[in-house]
Amino acid sequence: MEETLDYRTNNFDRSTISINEYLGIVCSRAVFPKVDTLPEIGEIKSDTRANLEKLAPSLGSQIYSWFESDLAIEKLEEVYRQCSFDDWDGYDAAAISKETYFEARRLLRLIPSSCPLPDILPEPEGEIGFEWYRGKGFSFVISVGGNNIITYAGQFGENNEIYGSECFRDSMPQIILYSLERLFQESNGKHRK
Amino acid sequence: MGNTGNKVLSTEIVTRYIFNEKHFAATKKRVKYPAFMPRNGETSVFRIINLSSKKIWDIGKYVGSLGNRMLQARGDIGANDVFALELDIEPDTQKHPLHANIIGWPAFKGKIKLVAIKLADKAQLHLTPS
Repeated sequence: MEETLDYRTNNFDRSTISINEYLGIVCSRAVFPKVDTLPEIGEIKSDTRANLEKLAPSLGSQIYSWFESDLAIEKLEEVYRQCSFDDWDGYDAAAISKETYFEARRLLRLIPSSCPLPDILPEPEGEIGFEWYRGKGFSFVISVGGNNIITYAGQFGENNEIYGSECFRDSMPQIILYSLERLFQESNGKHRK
Repeated sequence: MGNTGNKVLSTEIVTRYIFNEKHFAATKKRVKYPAFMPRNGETSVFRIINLSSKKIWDIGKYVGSLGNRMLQARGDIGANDVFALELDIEPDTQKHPLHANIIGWPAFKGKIKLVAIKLADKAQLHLTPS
């Protein structure tokens, strides 16, 4: 049974192993698989852009021009340059570290090309945030701080909100792709009314 | 001058002076959420009820001069909007008689972000007069 688990991919043969057996194997080795927050959306097999876009088809087939240019990286570099020292906001803000910059750069590459360029914003605790703003009550934000954690928060109209955090490995967490999809769906609906 | 040192009333307006150009959008006339995010659990604001526009800007320029920062804009928000998000505004008059801090932020970073987004949505942007 144990041989059916591939630790490199966290895949296992569902036809020959029960979930309890699987969890037993995993827990006994203290290795935890990727857990999908929203497993119904589907699995990410790799971090390729094409696969990410499959998860958020309603974002549309349009490819934004920023995606093929250096615009996003330039904006990120500008934020890093302006905020890589303490007190950059006049309120004793923490400097943005090199680790945070590189993590933000890695995160930027995982944004689907069908998403518009987010606003790239420095946060007072030294994190870098990406904001998609679609009007009052409709926005979604993710941020990183150089510790392999993505913090997110968003609102999708009245009484529809979300916040949380996810480990940042080598792919965009599905909850974030789902939230982006939701933001653009809900805000498009609002604009149609 | 308005209230100094007293409890902040829900009818008051407080302002967040903005010294970083990334924290507001002049064209869209909006304050962005990081402008309201706390540092060490506090967001510094000033009570501006009953003050003239000139006086409000003068205070902002004074605050900027302390840290050698150029005042870019400010975001005004009703104290009632702050209280509605289960935050509090505590007078802190050591630096200035009208200074206060927004306190009572949630412990979880994601929730802090969400609350800051909501504050920014409620805030009214004013650009520094040229």
